[in-house]
Amino acid sequence: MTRADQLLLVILLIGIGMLFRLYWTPPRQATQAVVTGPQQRLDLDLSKNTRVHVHGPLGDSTLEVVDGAVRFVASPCRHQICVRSGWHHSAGAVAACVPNRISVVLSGGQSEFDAISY
Amino acid sequence: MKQALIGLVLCAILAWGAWQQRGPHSDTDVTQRELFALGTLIQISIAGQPDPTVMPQVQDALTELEKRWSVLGDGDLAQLNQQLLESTRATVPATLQAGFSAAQALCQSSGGRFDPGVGDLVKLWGFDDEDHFRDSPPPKAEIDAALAQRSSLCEASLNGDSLDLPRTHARFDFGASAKGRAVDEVIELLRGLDIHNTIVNAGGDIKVIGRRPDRAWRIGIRHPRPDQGQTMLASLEVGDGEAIFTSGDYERYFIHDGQRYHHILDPRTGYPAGHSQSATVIHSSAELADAAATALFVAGAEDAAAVMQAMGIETWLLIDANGAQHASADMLARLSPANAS
Repeated sequence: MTRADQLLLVILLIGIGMLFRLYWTPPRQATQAVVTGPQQRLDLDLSKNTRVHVHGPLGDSTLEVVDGAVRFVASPCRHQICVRSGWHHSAGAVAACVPNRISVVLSGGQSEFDAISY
Repeated sequence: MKQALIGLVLCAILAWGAWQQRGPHSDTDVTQRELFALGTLIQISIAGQPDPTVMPQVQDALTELEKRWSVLGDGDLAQLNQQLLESTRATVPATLQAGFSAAQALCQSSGGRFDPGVGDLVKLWGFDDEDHFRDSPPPKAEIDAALAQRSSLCEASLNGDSLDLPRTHARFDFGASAKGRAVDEVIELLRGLDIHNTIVNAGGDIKVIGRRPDRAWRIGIRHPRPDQGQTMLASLEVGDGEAIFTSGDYERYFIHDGQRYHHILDPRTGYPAGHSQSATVIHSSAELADAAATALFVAGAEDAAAVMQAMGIETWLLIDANGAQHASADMLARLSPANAS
């Protein structure tokens, strides 16, 4: 085996490793979140930290994305169920401020679950 | 050079194989739609691409079910409650009869732990409506009065469309079974529309038919006290026609003087049930699973097994007030530990 063959072997092994990472181990965490309000739809890239305001019948709900997770920071509903539901990062997770008619659905990764019972 | 070519061909085969492996398992094979109804977010997940007319029909059905079972507005249940303000007798509309009859049987088998006759208590605690939400418990005298004057559905005389109660001012609230009944009806609607692989998820209360293209539907059960390390308690696969319902103290609640007051009331005491953090039940009937999850939560660990047996439930999981896990053998056999997600 020549030095060129050895180099090629190393390159191939690295290539196979990269393929494995790309295709056989897809991320469990979601990669995007779709926020839907009565008159708005926002596609959020969960790799980019951001804060958005979505208008609903009760006023503005505020959501933020930090380090691949999304949560309702504030919402004008009284029960605050959406805010209390905390951070969401799994593909397939959903959260909503029902009184303000705003939902967030996470997708894009390899879903560990098809739905969450709570 | 020949070896390099062989290596490149091998790489290409691996890449192709990996892509083929990934393709059919992609979430793009499942169509998801969200609808607001029954006071929650309803998510319908259908394997494949449904006909565009399916979701409008589901929305119409949910709107009709919501109006039928709401304690607010002028729907069938609201009108019946209005009749009972001044009378001990009411005519149950045909649209509500099956739900009343099923709920009465469940009330009795649960030993009154599930009881739609808690309407006044739910209203008093402010859990019936966004506008009534409160940040402190009602005075004990008011709770005692509501408890003394309430009529349990367990003790009602129900014959066809005729409902007789021991006293006036009964107020029925089917918040612990109507969602399950609605999920059952939506699943039947979808079956009738030739949809055979779907999940109906009504705010975390779920029923499935069929399976995904690549595997059975997989459901995570939320941890009642999630932290950064663990948000899921466990997961399991659910089969065709199974419903999984969870009742927990972590969504509708308020904190007063350091104590949590949640929306799952013990019909026998008038106060939030204090024995549990969450209760999960699996059964083929979503209506039964809904009521049984409430009954299990109210029962707590001590009475859990007996109450579940009386209600015909074999698969259940309870997290008690201390965070300890109690489960039936059937449930334990099906649970998989959740990853740190």
